[in-house]
Amino acid sequence: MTTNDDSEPEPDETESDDGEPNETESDDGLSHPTRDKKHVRALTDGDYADMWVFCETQGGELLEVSKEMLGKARALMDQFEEDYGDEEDVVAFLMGDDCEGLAEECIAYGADVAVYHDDERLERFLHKPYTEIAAHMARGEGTVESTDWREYDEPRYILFPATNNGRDLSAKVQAELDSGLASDCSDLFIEENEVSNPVKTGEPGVKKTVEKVLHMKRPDFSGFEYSTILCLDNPDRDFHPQGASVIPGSFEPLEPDSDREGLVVEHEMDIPDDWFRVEITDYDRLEAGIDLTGHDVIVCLGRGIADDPTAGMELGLDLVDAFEDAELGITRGIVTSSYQFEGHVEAYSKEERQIGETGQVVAPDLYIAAGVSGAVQHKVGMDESDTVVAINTDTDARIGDFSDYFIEGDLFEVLPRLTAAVEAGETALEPEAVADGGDDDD
Amino acid sequence: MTDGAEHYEAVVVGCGPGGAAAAARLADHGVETLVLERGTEAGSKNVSGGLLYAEDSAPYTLEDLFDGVREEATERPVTDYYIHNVAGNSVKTYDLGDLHEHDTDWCDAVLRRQLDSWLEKRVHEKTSEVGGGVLTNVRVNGLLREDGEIVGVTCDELDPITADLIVAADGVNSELARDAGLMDWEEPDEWFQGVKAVVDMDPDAIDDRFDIGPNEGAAHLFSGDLFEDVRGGGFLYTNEDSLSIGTVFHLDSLVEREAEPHELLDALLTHPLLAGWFKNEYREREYAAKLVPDSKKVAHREPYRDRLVLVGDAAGQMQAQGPIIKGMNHAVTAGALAADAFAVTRGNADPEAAGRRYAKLLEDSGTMDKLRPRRYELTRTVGEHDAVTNAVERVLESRLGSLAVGNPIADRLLQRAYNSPFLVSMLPDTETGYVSLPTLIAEEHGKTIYWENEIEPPTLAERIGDLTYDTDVGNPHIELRDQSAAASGAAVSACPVSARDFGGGCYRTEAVKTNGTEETLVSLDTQPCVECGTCAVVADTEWEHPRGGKGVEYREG
Amino acid sequence: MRSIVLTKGVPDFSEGAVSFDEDGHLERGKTPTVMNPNDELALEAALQTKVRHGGHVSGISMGPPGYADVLQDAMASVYTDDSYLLSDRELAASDTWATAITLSAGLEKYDEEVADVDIVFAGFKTADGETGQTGPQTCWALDWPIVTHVVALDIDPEERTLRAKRLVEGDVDEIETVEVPLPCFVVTDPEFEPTYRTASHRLTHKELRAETEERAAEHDDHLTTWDHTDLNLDPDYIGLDGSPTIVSSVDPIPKASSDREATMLDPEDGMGEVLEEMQPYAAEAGE
Repeated sequence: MTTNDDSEPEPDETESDDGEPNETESDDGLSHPTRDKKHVRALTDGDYADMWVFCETQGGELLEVSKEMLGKARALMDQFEEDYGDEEDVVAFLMGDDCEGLAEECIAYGADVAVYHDDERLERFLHKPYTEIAAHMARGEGTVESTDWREYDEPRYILFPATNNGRDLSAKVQAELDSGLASDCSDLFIEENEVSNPVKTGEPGVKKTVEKVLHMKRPDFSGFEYSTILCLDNPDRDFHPQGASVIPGSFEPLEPDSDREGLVVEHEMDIPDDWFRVEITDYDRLEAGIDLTGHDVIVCLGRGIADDPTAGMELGLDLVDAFEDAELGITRGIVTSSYQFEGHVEAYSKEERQIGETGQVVAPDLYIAAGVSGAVQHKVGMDESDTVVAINTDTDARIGDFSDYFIEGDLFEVLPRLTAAVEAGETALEPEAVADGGDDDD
Repeated sequence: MTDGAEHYEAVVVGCGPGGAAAAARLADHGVETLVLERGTEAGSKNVSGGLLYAEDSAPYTLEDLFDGVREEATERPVTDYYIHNVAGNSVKTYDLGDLHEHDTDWCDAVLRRQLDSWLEKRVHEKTSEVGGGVLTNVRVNGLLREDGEIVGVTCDELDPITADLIVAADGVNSELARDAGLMDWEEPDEWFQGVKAVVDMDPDAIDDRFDIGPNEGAAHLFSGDLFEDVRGGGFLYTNEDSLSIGTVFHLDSLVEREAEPHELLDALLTHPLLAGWFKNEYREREYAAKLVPDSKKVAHREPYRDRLVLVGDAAGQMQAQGPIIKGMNHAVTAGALAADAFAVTRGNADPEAAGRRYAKLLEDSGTMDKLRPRRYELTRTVGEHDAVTNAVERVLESRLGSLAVGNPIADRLLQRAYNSPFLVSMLPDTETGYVSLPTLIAEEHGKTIYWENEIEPPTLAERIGDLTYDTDVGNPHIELRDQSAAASGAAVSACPVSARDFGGGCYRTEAVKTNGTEETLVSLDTQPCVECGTCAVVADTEWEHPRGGKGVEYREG
Repeated sequence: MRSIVLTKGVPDFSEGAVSFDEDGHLERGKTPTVMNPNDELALEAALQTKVRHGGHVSGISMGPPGYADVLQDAMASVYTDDSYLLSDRELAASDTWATAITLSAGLEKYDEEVADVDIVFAGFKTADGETGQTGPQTCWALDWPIVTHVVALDIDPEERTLRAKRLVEGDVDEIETVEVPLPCFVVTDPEFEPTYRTASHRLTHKELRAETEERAAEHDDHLTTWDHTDLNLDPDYIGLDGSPTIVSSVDPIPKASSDREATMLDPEDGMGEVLEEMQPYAAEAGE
């Protein structure tokens, strides 16, 4: 599986090693069959407009990421109008066994147009029919009634969710539309780009400015680098739509507005049985489990709660609640303890919340370790956190070696005060219980 | 249900020396043999003190079954053998050469990862020629029964397998032996616990410091007052480029004294006597622990049921001949005899024919009498009786006793006594033999050691940190049935990877407040477990081995 | 069963092996190339098929001549029977589209000239490009039925069907059971685990290991290399020329530093700094 950043480290070798003909095409002995393959449907100088968003569903509902993409697409196309003066639409497209209501929901979440296809055989994702229908929609094929709202060959941009099924669909639809895409993007923006790559400009040494380029930022190289990927036309072969798949959680959805105006279009085409060679015989939901990753803040409790485990757990949960997006983690020491937790907090003492080498590995913006001694195994689970705050009575505790702040104190006293301060939006703590009767008493 | 189950003529569970011997011998007899080993490689789950004997009187030695094993898989042969009686800095050393050489064809130090993994390859070669082979990472978790009769095994990783012969060579904590009701984990006084450090040392340094040649090796035993009056002793064996240094104690004594095994090991490691060998350099490669059955009490006289036979540690076949412990050699003999028994009874309709024959072979070959001497059972009741012990102790403490032990004639007699296989086997398992007598000997005859031993052994946390684990997350293999200190508190100190005031081990106690009253409870984290089985005996647990390939992996063993 | 496994060489991103320059960019020259870790699972799936049903497994890779080492590694560690390398300077700088066109041409040539293929296995995402697209796109070019994100699989050779469990991501994850007729294309999920529940399968597995280690030692004897003329591929549609996408810029992702120096705070008066850190994450005040 190759992306173009894999160009192998021998670009300076210009001679072919085995007398093989070089790029002059006339005498290469090939029958030039590739362009005739059914799967190469190149367009040249096509008309392109709008940003299409594939809205994946599950169990008859839109996935969160579908709403997030609609929100991002809305913002991008509003900016597009501002930058270029052209009003182009956000087009949601989706399929399933009963999608009309969901199509309307897509309008509420920011789409101008929502195209849907209903067929009872499409209740769950299947590669072949979903690909064929999506490509058919994008090319504007189908009845006049379902396509007369648009006047272009193919979408300018197209977004898919970077879920297992969404990513597969993005790859197959873009192949079908003879274009490219960047997968697993975490940021998108549209601006001009000065291109010097001769394959794209048509002649070496010439720079060409291309307008309205979707810049697709994505982490790759096993998380070591961010690449910005562009999908650009060749001089004699268009590569549109410019496609991307989007990591769930990268963008914020809009507040749904059921009064938003938009066009809902039912797409029609014949779907042959032959497209259903893959049969889904069964499916089960997996236990959701507790996912401690991806939160802004983690409050982790350690064996410092031993004096009153239930109260300690309650204090940790109070602090969690004071944050917008936080979760409670625990150390292995708690999981394996014989603490007798009372019923209402017992569920928080299980292995599914354990942070560390044999538990979950988290990297929140803020990590608050209360009563955590800081075993090496624990460090493995949280060391990538941005800011680490330790609360401990023992200044020699190893957690101090990998904390940014070390509050020397008993978590039973410190946690409630932090909670109160965070809730009150204060950055300075009230001096402890100043006696009543000060001058200023409102 | 056994319909449609896979069938092999013989299934051998465990690929240590006992299982390897059984499988090799079965293959020699042309029996289709499947060997199932729970370690990721044979030897990765195994620990021994480190001496493998080949006895003149034994029907089989490992070399008989595996040509080349000494050249390729064992460490140095033991050519020098001493025991050191220690009292403080005073040490009296006796040469144990005579006892060591009695009935000994050869004796090599071994490291089990090296030895067993080598054996595994040979066993696989042999058994695959007869339609079987060795599979690693497979844990046999129980016996398969049909109408109440044992007909095969069940595994974590494989569907049930039926067999005409099932050889349980699955070690001291044999789950099969317990499933069959042949062995238990009840009484601490039936077990020893050994802990060992493998210590890095350059081969030339070994030659030089132990005054031996490159193809020679030394064995040293230690007893006396360096172990807090816990009954047991220490050992040191030379390997090719390392030392095996360890301690072995009666489990009941460890429990009674609430002693920390790793601290007792450290007491040996840091004794001035060892300074001359370490030269203040100490690099520990591996810390390990193992439970040792006291065969005098637990070696099963009829180690079979239906098609199942027990071999080696699984059957309690570990002989403590006074200070010298012999286990692997007997496992080899037993494994080979079990195979021979099956070969001659093959096709017999009676499922217990092979087992009965095997028990008879153990008797007839004299193996059982070495493991479980009848004369011991006669003396045991007297020797271990507290009143008798106390009486002997009092005599030793009296001026008369000291005088007796302390005179020059006694010195010679003592060396002779230590070298008598008969006498040492009669030494009662009391403090007298392990502590009082050696201490007195050292006090009376010993020379004072003036070396300073400045080495610092790793902490328990460091030792655990240096071990390799593949933790079966979310699937603890031991469960604590009773968290009360009375039922399970003994594990906190007796467990070799736990200690009082140490939170990073398996067992710890904690004061828990409930409804205003404070209670001390025991808690368990199986992550650092070295699978020795101590807690199965001293605490109230539901004890199993981890799944195949999971848990601790010894590199040295 | 005749299986083909797609595999690729990638920089070894493991700690100690990977090398970055001063600007934080990967230094390919100094970083060894290894088989893409996810491809190992595709090989495992092919091996499971071979152990259970017999047959033949071929490894195919597209890349520079050096990728022969990766194929050799695939042979040694996961027991392929032979190797095919699609290698040509014209293929350099292919993006997923151009790669898919090339691989599908290789698979078609194999199917026509070497043997009928029952299953093509591919792994999910490479450790470098991380697109997750090449498998589905290659299959799209072949127009075979595809099952992706396979975590377990089972084949019925008589019925010529493959049954798989696949992982579906959504707001809640699901496991689907799907049935597909052969020939088909299988993309394994990183969670794929081969299962061998009988001793005889495990023994066969072990036997194959010994056998293939020997074969891998003589890898050149089992390697076939095809260039773009062998594949009858038009240079306009492969390599950089045939790639819709380009990489416009690469920025290193800053790594959180693990060297921390703790500021000691006294809860009685010195927590202002910490509270400032916490305040941005506070929940909006309730009503």
